[in-house]
Amino acid sequence: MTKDMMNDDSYIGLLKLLAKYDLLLEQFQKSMADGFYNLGRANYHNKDSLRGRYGMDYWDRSYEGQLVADIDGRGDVNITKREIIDTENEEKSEASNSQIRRRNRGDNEEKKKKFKQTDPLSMFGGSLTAPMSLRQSQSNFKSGIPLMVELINCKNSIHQLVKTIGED
Amino acid sequence: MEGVYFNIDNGYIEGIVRGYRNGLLTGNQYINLTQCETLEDLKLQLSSTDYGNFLSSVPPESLTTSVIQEQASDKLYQEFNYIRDQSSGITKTFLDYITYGYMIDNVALMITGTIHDRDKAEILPRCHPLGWFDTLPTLTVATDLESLYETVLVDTPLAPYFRDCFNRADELDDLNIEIIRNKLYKAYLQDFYNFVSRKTDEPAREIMQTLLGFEADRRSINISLNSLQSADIDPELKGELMPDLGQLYPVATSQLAQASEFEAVSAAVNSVYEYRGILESGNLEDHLYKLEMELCRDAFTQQFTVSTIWSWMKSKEQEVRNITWIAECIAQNQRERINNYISVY
Repeated sequence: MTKDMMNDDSYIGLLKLLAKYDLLLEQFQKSMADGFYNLGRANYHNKDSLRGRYGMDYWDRSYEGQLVADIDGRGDVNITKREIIDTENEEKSEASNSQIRRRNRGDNEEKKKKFKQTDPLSMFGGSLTAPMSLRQSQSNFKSGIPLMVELINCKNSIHQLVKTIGED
Repeated sequence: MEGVYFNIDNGYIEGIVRGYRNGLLTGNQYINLTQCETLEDLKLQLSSTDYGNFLSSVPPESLTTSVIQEQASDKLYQEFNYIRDQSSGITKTFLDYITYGYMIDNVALMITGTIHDRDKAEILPRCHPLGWFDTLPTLTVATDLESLYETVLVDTPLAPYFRDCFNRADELDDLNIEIIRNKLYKAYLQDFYNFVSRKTDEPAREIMQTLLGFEADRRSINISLNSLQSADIDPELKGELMPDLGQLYPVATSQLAQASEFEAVSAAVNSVYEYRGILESGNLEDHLYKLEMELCRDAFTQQFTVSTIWSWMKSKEQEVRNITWIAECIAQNQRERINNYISVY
């Protein structure tokens, strides 16, 4: 009898997790759909007359990511913002050794490089021309990130529970 | 009496442009497009319009919204180049002025692509074809603005617009390139406005002054609103970026430059009758597009003017945007929002 009750609890727990997964998926779907809708609208508002739409063509290859995903033993994910680390590198650049990435303004120049939090939106037209719909698209997609984390963790819990029930 | 001599040099061009104008999609045709189920249906519907079989070389499996946008834009550029090839004198200079705006965008694109570590071969196809000039690919050696100017840009039509761009000796990053782009565009609009005021006859002069003034106002409002999000731009810099023409200049422009919150921007914009309420409801860009399209539609009521070319171009660009939007809604299955386009013809 006790073992049956424990099994019932497991199944009830499984059902609750599945219901939670379903709800999260629906919310995630909505935020992605809204994000793509606003992205389409931003393309409509892209008055910059540049050919092409907001996408891979605008990417900054030297951009450093802002978020870090920590994955533990079970596969659970936790996404956090990267810490701001102030590192200053002083270099003296010479005109004869210039490369494209270094912008030389003569001898004895100091170049400071530090990781700072830059909004990725600055890649897509800069702060003066990005339309409001692009910002909305960004916040839609951003709101999907915690949902993604919850979905992965929920899925792991479901697998775990199914495995436990199967072993009984 | 302006009509007497206009047709000698420009009669054919105006005839062609009015033919293109009559081929612009009407409200009913847009409704037919919104009722398409798939992009193939859309292609079929467009084949019965002036677009014809412009997508005939695209296989069904690779028909996407970006392909439709590119092909429709290519058609516009071909038509523009045809008109430009037929033009001479003042009209040719007028058409050249239209292309300078696109050149500024291309210059900004090349420099931005370089600082973003992008390969030249990746960025060049993205440049606007109407803003192409031969030395454009050499802009990838973007170290600083002065050397770029002295080696490349001084020989282009954009050279006079760089006059005020060398004050800030900062390194080229995203924000500074945006600032330079806006300064160039401001100088370009002023130059275009002066050209139109001195060299063109009525009624083209009046219509173009209105249209260019609207463009300047649009830029001022956008600069003012977008700079609210960023603290790097002080009021003095904002004032340097806003053009000195349009209905908002000079009173509302100075208020917009000083504005540090949305209410102040809204109050400044509401002081002009035509722009009253555009920040209150709906999307700002949509309101501005609607105003622009109404101005363009009304510009066609005047005969013997070169302003019909500008109006047609802007109307056609809006049409490409509308078709792309409808295609996007069909592809994303967002049918309830498909009617969010602007149609005035």
